[in-house]
Amino acid sequence: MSIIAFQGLTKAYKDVVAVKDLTANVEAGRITGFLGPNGAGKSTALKCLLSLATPTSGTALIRGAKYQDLVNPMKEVGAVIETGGFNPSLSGLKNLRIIAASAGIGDGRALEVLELVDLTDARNKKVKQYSLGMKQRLSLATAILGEPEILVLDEPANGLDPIGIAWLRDFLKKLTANGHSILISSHQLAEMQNTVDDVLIIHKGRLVTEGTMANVVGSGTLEEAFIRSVEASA
Amino acid sequence: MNLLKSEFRKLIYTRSFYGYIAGALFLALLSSIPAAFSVNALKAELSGSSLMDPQMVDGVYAKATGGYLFALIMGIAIMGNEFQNGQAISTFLATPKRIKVLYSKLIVAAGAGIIMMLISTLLGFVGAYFGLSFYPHAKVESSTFLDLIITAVVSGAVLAVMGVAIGALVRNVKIAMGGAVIWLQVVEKLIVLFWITGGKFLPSGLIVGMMNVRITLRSQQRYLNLSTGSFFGPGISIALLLLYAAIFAGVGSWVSLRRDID
Repeated sequence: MSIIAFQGLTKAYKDVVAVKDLTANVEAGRITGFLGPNGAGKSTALKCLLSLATPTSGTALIRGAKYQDLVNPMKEVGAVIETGGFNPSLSGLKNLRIIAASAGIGDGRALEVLELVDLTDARNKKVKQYSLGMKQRLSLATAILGEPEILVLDEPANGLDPIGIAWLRDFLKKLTANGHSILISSHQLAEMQNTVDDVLIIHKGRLVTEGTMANVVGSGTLEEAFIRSVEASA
Repeated sequence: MNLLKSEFRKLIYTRSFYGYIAGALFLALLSSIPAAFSVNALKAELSGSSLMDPQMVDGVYAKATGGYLFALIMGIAIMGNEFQNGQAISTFLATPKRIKVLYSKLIVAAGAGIIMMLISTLLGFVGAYFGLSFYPHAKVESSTFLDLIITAVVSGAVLAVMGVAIGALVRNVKIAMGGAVIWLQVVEKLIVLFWITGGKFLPSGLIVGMMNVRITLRSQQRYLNLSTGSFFGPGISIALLLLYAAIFAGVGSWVSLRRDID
């Protein structure tokens, strides 16, 4: 069953077309990698999906509805967009309490999610003192604050060291074991090969291939599959 | 209510909010304490009997509202920092209906602006009272205190709302704040000084108008106008300020709804 659907999505900024006619589906209960090099249009497509940017044409829907039309979006979809979204002068806990309050989520849940992402000890530290990995984990804490079934994660592995990447992989596996559906964007193809079930590969704003990891990769690596797909689409 | 709680937390968790209040208190004192001495020094130029004239004493007390600049700056920070920090991403992910976020910000800003102006005006009132205590013949009208409170409430709410709108319109917070300071402290004062017909429509002219201060100078300076006799009365001043707030809030909302979040 499809839970996220891009249908002819196009987003242009003045003369630059960031995403062009993207049509793809994300299935429930699986980790779907939204892969491509930097500047491929992944973040732009996700911003359109999350109503942070307005599509030039086409649609990006979650369970058949625009994100902005969801009744309680944080309880349906958890999202990470880059590592931003926090006031750097406030502690991680205060940032989470602000976000929790806006969705009617109790303060206790903020402490719970900080524990889930191993940030309990750093909860009162200012975000500007966090390492990139800690900011990524705080972003993940925000995403699971409302206990949503669907997660949309934009480059959550960006800047993580090998231990952080291993932690993220385990974290995502635990979430899918609990029935979550995850759409995760990344330019780190080698790492994603070990993490995702399904693949959407985007290049220069266009979808160049999609399918299960096994079908897309075949007997080679994801990097090789990516290069094959880009060359075939050129 | 959830959004109001969230916006309220953003405000009280941020240290700069208390800095803006301190700034407003400082400005109110800086404006109000020396006012009585200034009026007394200018008595040769003034109509009536200097501080014997209740209008002049009202003029001294009007300086107690001098902290309004910080209500505007706080409003700019409430909206502008959201975009500058990237906090807008988490805000709009939690509440994608942006108009609700904007209304919450406007309500919280207006409330905080009122509180800031009430506190600073009360302190400024004490400062003016202290300055006037050196002139025992100074007379105060009974309505002065009420006029001050009304002025504090209206100017605090209106300028904070205008600040939120400016924060939505100008992406760079420092430029927005710098521009606001230069506009209120330099440009408006020059316009009032040289072109009273236009100056009485400006926020600072309307704030003086709300206080209903009527000062006339005997100055022979042809091109300068330090009189407030032609300013609007309280009713029109309040109505115009509220109209400005509504226009700014409308434009700010329109821009926020159309903007992609970077």
